[in-house]
Amino acid sequence: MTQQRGIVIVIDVEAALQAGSLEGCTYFFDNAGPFGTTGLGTDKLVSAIHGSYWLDGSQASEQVLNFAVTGITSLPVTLPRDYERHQARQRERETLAKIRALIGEAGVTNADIRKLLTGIEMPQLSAIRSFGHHLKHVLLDNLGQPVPAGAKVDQSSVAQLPPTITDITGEAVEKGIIYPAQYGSPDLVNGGWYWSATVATHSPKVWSYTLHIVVYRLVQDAASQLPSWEPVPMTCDAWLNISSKPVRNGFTGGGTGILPIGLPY
Amino acid sequence: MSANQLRILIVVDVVGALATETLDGAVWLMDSNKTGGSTNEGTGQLTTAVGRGDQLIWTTMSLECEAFAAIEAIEIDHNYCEVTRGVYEGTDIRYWLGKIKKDPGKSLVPYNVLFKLGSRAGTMSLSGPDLPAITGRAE
Repeated sequence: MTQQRGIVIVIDVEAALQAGSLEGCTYFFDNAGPFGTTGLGTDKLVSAIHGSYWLDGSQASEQVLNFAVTGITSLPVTLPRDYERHQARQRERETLAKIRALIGEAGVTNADIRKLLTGIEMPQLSAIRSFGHHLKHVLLDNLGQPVPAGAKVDQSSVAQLPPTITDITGEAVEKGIIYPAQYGSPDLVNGGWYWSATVATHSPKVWSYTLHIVVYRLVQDAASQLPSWEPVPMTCDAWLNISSKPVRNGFTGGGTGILPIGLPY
Repeated sequence: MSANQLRILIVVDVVGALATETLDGAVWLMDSNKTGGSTNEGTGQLTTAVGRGDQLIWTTMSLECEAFAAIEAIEIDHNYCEVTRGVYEGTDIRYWLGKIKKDPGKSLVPYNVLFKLGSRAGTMSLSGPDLPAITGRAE
């Protein structure tokens, strides 16, 4: 098994919504720059995949690709996807602690309690719309703090709901060069899901594939009570340059043979 | 001209930077103000278009989710931008907050970013002269 390739897709969601397209609003990266990948930081990523063959020409090993997508104005991917729940809970705990602290305090009046209760800050909810359903979601600002309910929502200060990959299709999939699938992951960073693909490296050529990505538009309709996130499906293309260059061992710079680990005897 | 919050995301190839002992070719910056005049998006020389009172928020992400990357410092002329470090509540994930004190107008104000990467002791910084910068918004 060779090193796995990580493909990172960063989206300027506001610009993409404005343009109605991901073209020119998407920045691709992979970790194969030193191996000849081109288009890093652009929407024209061509990932270099070195073939791996036995002497008879048969495929020696496949390449694994992992995809991660985020928005420039989404919260960092290192925060858990349900960070908004954690933040809402934290506010509730703080409020409950304040009320609890009144127990046993001599001289607490109903007015004190009433003041505390009216001072409870409710987070602004929004609705994430998807396939006819919707899910309530606490709005967080760019620093991860809940937006107070009722306040006028300044869109530039709200953290965007992260874009989501919904499918991978295109030439490379149709011709059986890559086999993409969504996998469950014990890492909650992506809500427990990520897209991955295995690459059959036996056919040297530049192959294209298409990522299907949903970005969300925050709509504040005066008629509706909640601001809502409307899903907007978009697509963008990327490429794999499968070559017959040999796979290199990252430790030795040589072929993929035995790892340079000292023998125990 | 109203004050905005602008996000700047720095993508780092941590493994590449550690292997070659340099951040050259291993750092890319993008901001949320391309439509407002920022240029060089997706490169190491991003120029962010700002106005007085704007808030900049820098965060970083590694190309490989297993690799650690954090911004240790942002070195910028304090006459133009005052920076402070913060963490997302309940976590140790950092952000850097910059407040634009003075509109740079037509001039470029370059800045450097210092990173903590992987388990490497000490920081790594960008090497000039091609650094990211802030500049005034075109009227």
